[in-house]
Amino acid sequence: MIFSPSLRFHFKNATFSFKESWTNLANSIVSFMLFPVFMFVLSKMWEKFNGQMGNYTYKEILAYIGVTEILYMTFLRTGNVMAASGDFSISLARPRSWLATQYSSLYGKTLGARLVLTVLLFPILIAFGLEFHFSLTIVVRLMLFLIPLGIFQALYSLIFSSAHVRYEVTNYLTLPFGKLFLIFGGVFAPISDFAEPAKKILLKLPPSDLFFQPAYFVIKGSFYQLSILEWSERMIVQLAALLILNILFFKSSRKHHQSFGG
Amino acid sequence: MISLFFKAMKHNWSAQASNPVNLWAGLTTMIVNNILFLYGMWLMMFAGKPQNQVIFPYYLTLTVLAYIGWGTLNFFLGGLKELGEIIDDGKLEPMLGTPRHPLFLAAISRSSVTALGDLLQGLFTLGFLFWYTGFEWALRAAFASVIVTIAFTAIFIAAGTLAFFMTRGASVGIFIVESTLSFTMYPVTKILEGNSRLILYLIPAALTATLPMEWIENANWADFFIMISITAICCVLSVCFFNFGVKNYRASNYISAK
Repeated sequence: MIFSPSLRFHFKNATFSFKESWTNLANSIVSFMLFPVFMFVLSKMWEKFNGQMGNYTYKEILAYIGVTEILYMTFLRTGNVMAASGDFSISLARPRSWLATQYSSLYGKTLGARLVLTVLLFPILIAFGLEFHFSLTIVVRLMLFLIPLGIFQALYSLIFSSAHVRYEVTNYLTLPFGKLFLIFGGVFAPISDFAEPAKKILLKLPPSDLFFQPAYFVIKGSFYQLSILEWSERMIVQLAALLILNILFFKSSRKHHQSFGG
Repeated sequence: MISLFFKAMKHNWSAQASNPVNLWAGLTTMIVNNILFLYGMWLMMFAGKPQNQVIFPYYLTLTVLAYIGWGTLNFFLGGLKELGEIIDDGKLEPMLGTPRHPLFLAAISRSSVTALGDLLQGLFTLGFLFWYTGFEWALRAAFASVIVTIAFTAIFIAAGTLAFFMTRGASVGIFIVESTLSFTMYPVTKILEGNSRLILYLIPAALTATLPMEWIENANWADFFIMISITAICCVLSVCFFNFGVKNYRASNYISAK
């Protein structure tokens, strides 16, 4: 019970951030316009370059790219990373943990933004000619993944927020770091279609657990060459590593932080 | 006007150079980012797939066109990319009260280190293309990138000007610019077949990818001059469109607290 006021605060904090993406739906829709362009271009590219392999149908690939794009477009956003580090000085004088407050905020933001995009994905899939039932299955399965995957997005962002407090120049690193996840996570095309030995290596790396495996599950209903238990184990290991890194980065930033007044 | 342009560049880059850590971090990051992207695309489309290798030079050429066109424009006239936001945020208003053309002032107001990274990446890739395909193809790509730079200028101005006429014009402008870049960077010109190819001639990317690639593959130098003239006319029309927007512009700060 001693934690309940704190938990209530962080829950409210996450809920407040969650609502942000829903407050201006018109803006979300306008910024979503690029989404079908990417889906069209990338699925056509896959059809030309990998279509003959026969692992997926064209419609499955459209849905796959839609799913991975939703996850990637809301992954490591520089604005969110910098906003989280913005009030570090003030938070030191507050009776709340900066790490926990920013985590709940980032988690809420991620979940809200991803849910908006997932809802918008449904009419796009229908417009691209996918069957109603298949599109609905995609959207429902994706929604189930949003809750656990948001935890990892928030933790990765928080590492950069802590780093940004100490070294401002690290905000440049979010772009290439995100690109690593784009390439090794199979955002543009399923890793299962990559040639060996890249396929074998990439399947073992953390980005594939965050992008390729969930998207594959959403399309096919199971993980690629993994059981649910194995995927969960890998995610727990990744979670433990992220938690340790977050604590280390936060402690280092707090120790070396220089406040320039307010 | 030219002396003002060079002064703006000098001041902008003197400020950037005063913070060498930031400058080098930004530049290195952008080059690493672009190399990673190229590597990712190579892994996805070409690695271990000999049947796809024939399209590799086309992909490299499109990369050259996109990076050089996009990088040059954002390096020298970086404000054009943010024209819609400049109009939306009311930052254009002080520029209207000067004897210089507001579009010119908006254009020279920004220059970014990331754009320099794109430009350098484009030049490196052009060098690689020269080694991979030979002199003539690379020379054609270099000339085509001039057309693409002018075409991007026209598209940036026209897309940004939409902010004069629409509530969310800046967002629509970003959509037009970013989707044009996507259609330029990815080898869409080689993958669309049949009736769907028609779309490639109807979108702005016709000027930045479809037509320049067709010229590189087939056409002669007379066609080059026709293309560059048409692109320049498009650019002039974009400026006219901007002037029309300025004439109908209603300032956002007509009620302001001082």
